[in-house]
Amino acid sequence: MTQVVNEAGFVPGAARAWRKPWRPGRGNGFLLIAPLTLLCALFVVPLALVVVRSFSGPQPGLAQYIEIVSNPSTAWVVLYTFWTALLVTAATLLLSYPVAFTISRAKGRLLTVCLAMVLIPFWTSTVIRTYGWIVILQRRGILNDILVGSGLIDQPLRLMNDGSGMQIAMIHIMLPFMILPLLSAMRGIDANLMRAASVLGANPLRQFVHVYLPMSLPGVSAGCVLVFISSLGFYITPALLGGQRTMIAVLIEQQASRLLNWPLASALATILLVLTSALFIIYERLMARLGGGKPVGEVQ
Amino acid sequence: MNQHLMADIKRTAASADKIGAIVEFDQVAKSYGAVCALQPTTFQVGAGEFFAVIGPSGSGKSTLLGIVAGFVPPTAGAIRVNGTDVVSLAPYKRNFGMVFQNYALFPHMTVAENIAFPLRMRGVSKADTAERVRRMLGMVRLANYGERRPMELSGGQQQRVALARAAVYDPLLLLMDEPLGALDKNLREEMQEEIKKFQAALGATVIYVTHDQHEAAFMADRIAIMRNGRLEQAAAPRELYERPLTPFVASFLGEATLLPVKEILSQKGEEVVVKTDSGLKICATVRSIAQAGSSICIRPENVVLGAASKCANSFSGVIEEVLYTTGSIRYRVRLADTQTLLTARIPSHPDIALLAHGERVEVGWRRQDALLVSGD
Amino acid sequence: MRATAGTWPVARWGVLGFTAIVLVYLVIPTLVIMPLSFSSESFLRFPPPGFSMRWYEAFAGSADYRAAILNSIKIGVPAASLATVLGTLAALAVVRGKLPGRRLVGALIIAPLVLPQIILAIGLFPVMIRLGLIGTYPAILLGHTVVCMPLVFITVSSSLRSYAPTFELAAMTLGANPWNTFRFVTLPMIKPGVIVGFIFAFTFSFDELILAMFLTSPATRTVPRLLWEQLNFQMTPVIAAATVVLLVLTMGLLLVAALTERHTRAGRRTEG
Ligand SMILES: Nc1ncnc2c1ncn2[C@@H]1O[C@H](COP(=O)(O)OP(=O)(O)O)[C@@H](O)[C@H]1O
Ligand SMILES: [Mg+2]
Repeated sequence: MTQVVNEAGFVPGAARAWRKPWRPGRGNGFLLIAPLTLLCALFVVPLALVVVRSFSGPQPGLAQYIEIVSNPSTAWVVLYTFWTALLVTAATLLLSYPVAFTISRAKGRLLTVCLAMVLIPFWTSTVIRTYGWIVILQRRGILNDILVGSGLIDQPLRLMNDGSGMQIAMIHIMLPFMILPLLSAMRGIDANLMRAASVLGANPLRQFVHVYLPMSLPGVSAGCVLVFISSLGFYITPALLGGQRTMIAVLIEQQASRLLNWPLASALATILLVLTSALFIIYERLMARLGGGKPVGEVQ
Repeated sequence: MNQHLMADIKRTAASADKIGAIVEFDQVAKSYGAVCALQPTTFQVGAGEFFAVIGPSGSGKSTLLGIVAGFVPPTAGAIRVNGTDVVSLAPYKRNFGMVFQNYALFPHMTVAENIAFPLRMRGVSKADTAERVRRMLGMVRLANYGERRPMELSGGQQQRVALARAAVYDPLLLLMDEPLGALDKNLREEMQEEIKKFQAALGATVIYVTHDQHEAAFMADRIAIMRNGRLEQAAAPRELYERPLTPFVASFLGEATLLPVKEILSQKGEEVVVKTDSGLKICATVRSIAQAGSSICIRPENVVLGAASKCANSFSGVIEEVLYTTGSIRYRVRLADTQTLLTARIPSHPDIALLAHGERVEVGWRRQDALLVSGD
Repeated sequence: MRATAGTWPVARWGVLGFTAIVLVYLVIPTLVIMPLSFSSESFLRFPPPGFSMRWYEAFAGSADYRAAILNSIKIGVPAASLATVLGTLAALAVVRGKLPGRRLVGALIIAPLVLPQIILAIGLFPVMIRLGLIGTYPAILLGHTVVCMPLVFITVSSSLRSYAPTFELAAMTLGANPWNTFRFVTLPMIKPGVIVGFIFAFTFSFDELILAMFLTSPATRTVPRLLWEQLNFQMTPVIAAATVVLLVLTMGLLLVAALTERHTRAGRRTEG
């Protein structure tokens, strides 16, 4: 390096004992003591106990899991839960994408109205919304009134027994969870990019497939993970609208509080826990790799 | 700035009873992982000195200032302020004033509350605080703006509030990181004078980061030039301009024609004869031992056009570009070796006829105006 | 290109129409409840045969609802307060701190909101029995604190990310120690995030059913649990009336949250 000797004749002093420099935010770790203590005591430990309990019971070990797999009715519930979550995720994505696209382009009053129509259901309690669906879908509900009244069908549909009513309501309840992440991704897409693509001769379909779709993918993956995880653990809607079709969360509740079969309930909960945690972790990794991605919760 | 004002400032400075801090940088270095933001750097800033740091963006100026202020922990070295190493002190115990580029005025406080903040943190009494805030607001000519919010002020006014806030507790050292960067040109020149006056009245030592060489030359007692995390040279503006140590310094501060040197033909004391890459033989001046890999630096205003025969270096060339700028004419002259493009600047005057593009011309410069500078 | 010129406007109108249908689908269940709550009859018929306020009167006169609303407030306010303090602390540490594994800690703090509540419910139930707290206010209050903390963490984190840390650095150079920097600079800057976080947390607790089913007793029964029991027992329009009242309350609170956010966004230019 260029040694600089100035007029004052300052000669660099012999290196003195190196003192640790002050660092900003060094002590901030202490702030985590209280939140993490609460989290450990009331989240980590209870979940750990659930896992432990799933291996206990009359015959310790894997008995509960074997029971779940070998008993057709429980195995069926697990598979049906998976199937429903997949179906709900796919349906919400298909319904949400055009909606989010339209809202991302909207301005002024239209934007406010559209956002309100998404956010009001988002913040309405699930119990209330499910109640609304009961009114619409039950055997003598609004939908059947209209359909029978107009002569389209002669027998009222039994939507509350075959799972379809539950799926309709679940899709409805999950829509905002898909629309909002999509919206935040689409808002970030520069309209100039699409214009550039069209100047370069891409037709609207190609623009969409090669430019828009890839850029909205972070929103798609965030929304899908969020909806899939929530659907796996859905309780209220299946319990009220599912009829004979039950989902895991309902089964857990029945096993625990009605049949008092805590080991089995714990084993089912452990399966749910492992599945959702795995998805959550994969998602976090994915976002970290994409760089600067927001953690799952940051979609509101 | 006019001479009168300058003299005024000098007088105030001399009469100021407060003396700024002496700041010694001793092998201070900083790296972010593998990225070296600041190489070991040693220099000293004198009491009450206005010390400017300039350099291209990313050269480590903010890093240097952040280390002094205390929010960038250095990886090595010591910073002694009046003899005490401050590296391990928290910023709030250092008692320096700092002006940020975007001012960082607290948006939820009024102007007066902003200025009172450091006094409040120091437990100064209410009455005393009010008095000092009032005096400070007067000093920065914002006497009637105390109750406004920072957002309601113009850029220049915000900048003055930031200055008042950083100085209200009489710090011995004021740090400024591109404080005028967000202002337009006219306002910037006005503020330059104001900051100078302000410093003179305070008597504080100032370390002032800017990327504007004119600003630095105008304001500073001494300027340090940074490049790639390294301090290239620190000296008074005039010395930096007239005796640059490296080609980078020569070209960063002002304009210069740099001719790479191929070999040193002879050296006698300060006098040296070299041959450039393009084959020109040039008589030049050197301040240290002449080295290979150095360059000849020629300032445009030192180039003589026309009757150049009495210069030690004289060549014939062709005018390639004529540029009129207010007050002076700038020529680019292609020398006979066809490779060298020399920049010359002469004062514009109604009596001087403009040389035309393509015209043959004699150019020359004196031996002492061709400086041999070393390094890349 | 010419051949396709006619198809794109059709596609555009198609997307718009589709959006309108989905938006209607989104609001219909909520809209259906409103007229029902003014029905003159006790069966769920649509359109209602006549207009009356009897279900609102029944709701207002119901001791069960009154007790449940009181319980929900008694649980929601302290739970949201506790969640606000803890969530803010966590956000400060994770966003502004320099600790390693910040991302991991952030994910752990958000997890209770993401994982299905039923898992936490059957996890907390035996713990609360062991502690002798089952059915008491502290049980459900603590449970709700755990699931509400992520909401505050998220809103406060985004508040903290919305401005450069220069303000805090400036405060420090001006002589403010970490506590004073927090009190006089950070807290005023993140105040909207903290308020909005509190409102979200309270709303969440006010709506939460599953933890309430496991951790409350008839004495500490919350509104969602009461609604739930009524839904499973008998469906009269009094539920609709209760629902409308709660909906109006919730929306009012959220409107306050939205206005708080907009107000500060308009009042503060973000620092570069
Ligand atoms: N927080 C940081 N992490 C990593 N590298 C940094 C950080 N801050 C600065 N740098 C790097 O250090 C070098 C010097 O930066 P800086 O001091 O800000 O330059 P200047 O102020 O002269 O523009 C740059 O190369 C920059 O990329
Ligand atoms: Mg900088």
